Amino acid sequence: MSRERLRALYVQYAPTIYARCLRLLGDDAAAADATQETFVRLQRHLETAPDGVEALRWIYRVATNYCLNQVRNQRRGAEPVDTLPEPPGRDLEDQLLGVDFARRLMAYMPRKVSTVAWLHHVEGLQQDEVAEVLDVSRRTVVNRLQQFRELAVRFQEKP
Amino acid sequence: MARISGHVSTLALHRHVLAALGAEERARIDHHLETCDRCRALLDDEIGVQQRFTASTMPRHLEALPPGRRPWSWLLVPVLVPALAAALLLVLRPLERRDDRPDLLVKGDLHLDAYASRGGRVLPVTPGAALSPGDQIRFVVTGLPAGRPLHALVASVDGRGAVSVYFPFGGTASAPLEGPGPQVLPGSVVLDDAPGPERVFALFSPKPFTAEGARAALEGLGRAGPEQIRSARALAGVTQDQRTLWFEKSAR
Repeated sequence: MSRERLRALYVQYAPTIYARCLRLLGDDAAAADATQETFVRLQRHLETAPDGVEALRWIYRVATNYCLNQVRNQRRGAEPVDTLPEPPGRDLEDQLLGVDFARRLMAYMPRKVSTVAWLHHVEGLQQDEVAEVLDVSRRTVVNRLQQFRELAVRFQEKP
Repeated sequence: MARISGHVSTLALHRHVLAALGAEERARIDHHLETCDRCRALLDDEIGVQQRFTASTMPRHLEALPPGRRPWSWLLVPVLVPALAAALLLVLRPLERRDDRPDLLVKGDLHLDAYASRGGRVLPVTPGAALSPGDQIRFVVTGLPAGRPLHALVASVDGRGAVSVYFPFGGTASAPLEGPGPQVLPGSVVLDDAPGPERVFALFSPKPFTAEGARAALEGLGRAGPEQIRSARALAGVTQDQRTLWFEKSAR
């Protein structure tokens, strides 16, 4: 790919990638770094994507996976107990509308589960849209959402 | 339309910002946005985030992009498929000729980029981008050397053959630009209703120069017609260092 083509793709898609990363990470500098990393991983797909819809699917898939991995990696550092997420309670979906709470909760979830849960509960994608973006079956989405709910409930059971 | 409790999903908002929605879906979302403060705020926030990135972070990232593959390296690929090789050579030849012409060789790593503002949204101007009368354009020059000002002139010719000097605006001679870092050229240009292509050239020189030669070359290009405007790569008889971009204006 020529440098000019690379620049054109970057100018076209990087603002969208950055907005995705900022929403997932909540930090300007981390989102800027994640944008470059995501773009490097995506550039071949973006070049061959026939339209903005297909490109957005790739952006959602790659940026979400990358950033939630970053969130999970950050959790591996020492963290005081009192900063752990509060138990979700019965109104989990309402609580997930608070992005900070959702971000911290996702850090404790397996990647495949957290990606589906984030897209559905936080970003508001319907189950079939999540399936389309992640290139999995709707049944898989349903199963992972169920896993997410079960894992979230375990926070209630922790002493 | 995906929703949380009746709201628009972020995917739908991103499609809206990227203008990647069908007419029916767009109309549904526009209608929802008119009546939903929460989603309107999300869209405004999304636009604001993208605008901040475009204005502040993107220019730095563009300068750090890897150099990419040289055009000639593609010639090694299709040796086993003669027909494909012939086709590729036909496609790549203009690129080789552009880079090899010594009178037009571009020094350094200068770039001219443009961004269009439309209804609160900022869109990068990609080659051949479809723009409308009333869109506001801003130009950004990156790759300027530090400590050594270059003299620059940014001018265009449109589908009616009209020549405009955008930097310095309405000027008759170049003005200095200095790096490091991107330079957002002052002021924005509001597009008129002249339909068809508009090609913009940024001309650079270590020494000041007048706009006279550029005007004459652009007027000649305008007389050559829209197809020549779309395909032109450089202006002859002006500065050696030049960059160009173009877009397509629709009728109102």
